[in-house]
Amino acid sequence: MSKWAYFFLAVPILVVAIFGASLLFPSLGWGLPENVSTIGKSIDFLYYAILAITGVVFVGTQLALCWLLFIEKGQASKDGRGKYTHGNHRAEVIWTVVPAFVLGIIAFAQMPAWYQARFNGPRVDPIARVVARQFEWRIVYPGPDGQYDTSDDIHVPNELHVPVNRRVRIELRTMDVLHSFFLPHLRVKHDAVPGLSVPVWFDATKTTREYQNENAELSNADFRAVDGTTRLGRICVAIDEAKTPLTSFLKDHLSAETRAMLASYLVTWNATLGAEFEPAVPSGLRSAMIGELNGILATEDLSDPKLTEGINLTASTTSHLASPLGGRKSTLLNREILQDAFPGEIKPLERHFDLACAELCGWGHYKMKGRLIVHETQEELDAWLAERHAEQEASR
Amino acid sequence: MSRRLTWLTGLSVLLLGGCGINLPGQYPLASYTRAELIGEKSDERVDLPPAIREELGNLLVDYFGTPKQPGLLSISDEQWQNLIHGQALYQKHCIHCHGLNGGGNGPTAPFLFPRPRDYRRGVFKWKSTTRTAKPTREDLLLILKEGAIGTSMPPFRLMPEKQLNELVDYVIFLSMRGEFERKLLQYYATEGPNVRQMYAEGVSGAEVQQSVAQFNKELAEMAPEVLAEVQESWRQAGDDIIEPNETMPSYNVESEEYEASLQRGKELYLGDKAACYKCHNRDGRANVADMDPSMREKNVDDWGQPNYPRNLLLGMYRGGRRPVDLFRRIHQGIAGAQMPAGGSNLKPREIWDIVNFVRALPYRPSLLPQEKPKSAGHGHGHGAEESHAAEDDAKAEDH
Repeated sequence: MSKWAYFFLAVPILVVAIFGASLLFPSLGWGLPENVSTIGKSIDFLYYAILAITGVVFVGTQLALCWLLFIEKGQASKDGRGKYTHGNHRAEVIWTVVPAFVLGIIAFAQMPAWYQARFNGPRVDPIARVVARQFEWRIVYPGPDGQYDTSDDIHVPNELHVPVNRRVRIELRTMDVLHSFFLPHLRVKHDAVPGLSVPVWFDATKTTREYQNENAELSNADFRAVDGTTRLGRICVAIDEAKTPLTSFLKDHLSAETRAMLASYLVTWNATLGAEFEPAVPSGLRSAMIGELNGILATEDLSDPKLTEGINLTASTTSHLASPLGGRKSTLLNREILQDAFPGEIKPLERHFDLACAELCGWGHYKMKGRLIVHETQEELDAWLAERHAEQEASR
Repeated sequence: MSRRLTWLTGLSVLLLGGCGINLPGQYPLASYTRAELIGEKSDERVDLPPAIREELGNLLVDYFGTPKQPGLLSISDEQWQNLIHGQALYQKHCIHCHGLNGGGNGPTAPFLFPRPRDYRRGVFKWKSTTRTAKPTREDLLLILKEGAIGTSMPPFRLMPEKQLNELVDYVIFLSMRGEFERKLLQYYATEGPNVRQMYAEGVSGAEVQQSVAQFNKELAEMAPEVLAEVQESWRQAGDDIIEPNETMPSYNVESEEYEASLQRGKELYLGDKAACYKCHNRDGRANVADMDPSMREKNVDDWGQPNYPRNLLLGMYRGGRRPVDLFRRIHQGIAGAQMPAGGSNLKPREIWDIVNFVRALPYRPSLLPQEKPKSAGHGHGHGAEESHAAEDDAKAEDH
């Protein structure tokens, strides 16, 4: 029996570890996405409160289960039978009253949030009609005349545009099955039910542009994984194509900063580099190049101020070198280096507020993924709508 | 011990079994009936003798590569990279409907109506070019970005432009490959040696083999020309764009000129010059059940799928809702489908009137005489009197 005890013990340990990792390493993206709505705070509080209550109970129950399995084993070995108990009035009262009490507290605690989310809607006309359909979101704006169901309606697939800091209302519909309109960053989720037109309201406190600017700094893991290796791969391809000896290529074509960057990548990723290169680089050449690069770069003293001029090779860089996930500052540094070495090639990551179907339509949200674009001003939104309208009215 | 092994095997099958699609080493050879290939009234499959089959397969691999290594001889390294990337994207997003060869026969396809496009004929419906021409890259990009409303083709608006372009490259590649294959198969169906018949007629084995070898030689000789022809048709697409030579008159929706344009559109719709009503019906709903049975039988598209006229009251236009899209649709008709070209007997201004009318119709169904729905419980109402629905502010029920 003890084998099973270990198995059951692994479950709470794993759950706690995953939860801990999601909090400790936000760059993994396992936790909640950034909250950009006014209602989000109370929703998140409820979420964590309920998670804490159920988490404690879950872990406690699992531990009790394991303990009982051990006890069971010990007793069974004495007389060959388990010990049975039946009917304990006090225990029954406790396991009824305590959960009821907790549920009662949750029921009252959630009322303000529920009121804000589902009852206290703004008395405004819907800004857009969102029609769900397998596997797309068809979004309809009323167009210049402000009326729905007229020939100047503006149709946009998969992109919902709203102004910032304003509570807007949308009209949610579905053309086929049950869908669920989900804006994870805004903590909005509502089912779209066939035959019903559901009002949903929300506000965004951050524009897409702000979000992108901030997020580009945080997205270092992706940035390096996606851009760092491929660029390093490209350098290798370039070296190959230039048909020059490696040493002179490094001296002629790469600035000191880029060489330092190469060095940092090589230190961090030496073990995995081979696998992550673009397939265009032949594997033999790849390993030869890595070896040679390593050799050359090893002879260059990274602490030489001439080589690393303009780069702050202090704590941030060393932490970046040490930790595979990197730090926020070090990414900025890397991006600057890369931008310097390959001007025009590197842009900040294009991140968006997601719009997904929480009924898991499509393949893992993907096929029914849209995006929410938050504009800085109403004028900016109007300008975008006018542009789309003009596009739609094209007669040439 | 064996039990543990069973568990392990079972678990690994569960964990690994569902991962990834195993690409076959070659694009499978298309199988057509004689009717599909050369329009003969015969459902017999065109069955290639093994030697010719092998030669054709080799030719296709020589010219177009394999699913894992697609390629064309004449393209640059960069274009080749695009194809490789396009193939990977296609495999992720498109293959389950459009199929490995782009034959519109992926595993999901049988569940869809309308069926996904079969690129292998080189016929595309939603394009800005003339009916017989290929679509432009922009046309394909547009359909990728906007999707085709009313069908199962979703919009890929969120995909980066680079990836969309790579997908377009691969779709054009598949279409070229399909057309190339089809043309060679057509040549076999018309000119190739019918080995079975030859044996039946008592022709000696050596002679049969000789004629097969001769045909294989011909195939290999004509292949470069066929490919050049197909590539040229794609290259030319940009020259065949339909641009309305008269711009759309811009009306104020509340003006009398607009109403007059709608009236002219209506007269054309119901008149014999444009004769839209013949398929789309007098009420614009194109109810297939009300259709003349002879018409219904004819309503099959080039791909052999049922092809019904659009219900114009739904306001869903698969090829795009822009006025210019509708203009092109009326001007050139729809390639591969029954919609005829109106450009030859309609003036541009008249087409714009029809465009205006069609665009207004979903929101004002009373523009056309709407029959009252037949009520099952009552004896009357079968007179089919054309009752003019109340007034202009009536909205389409379908919205």
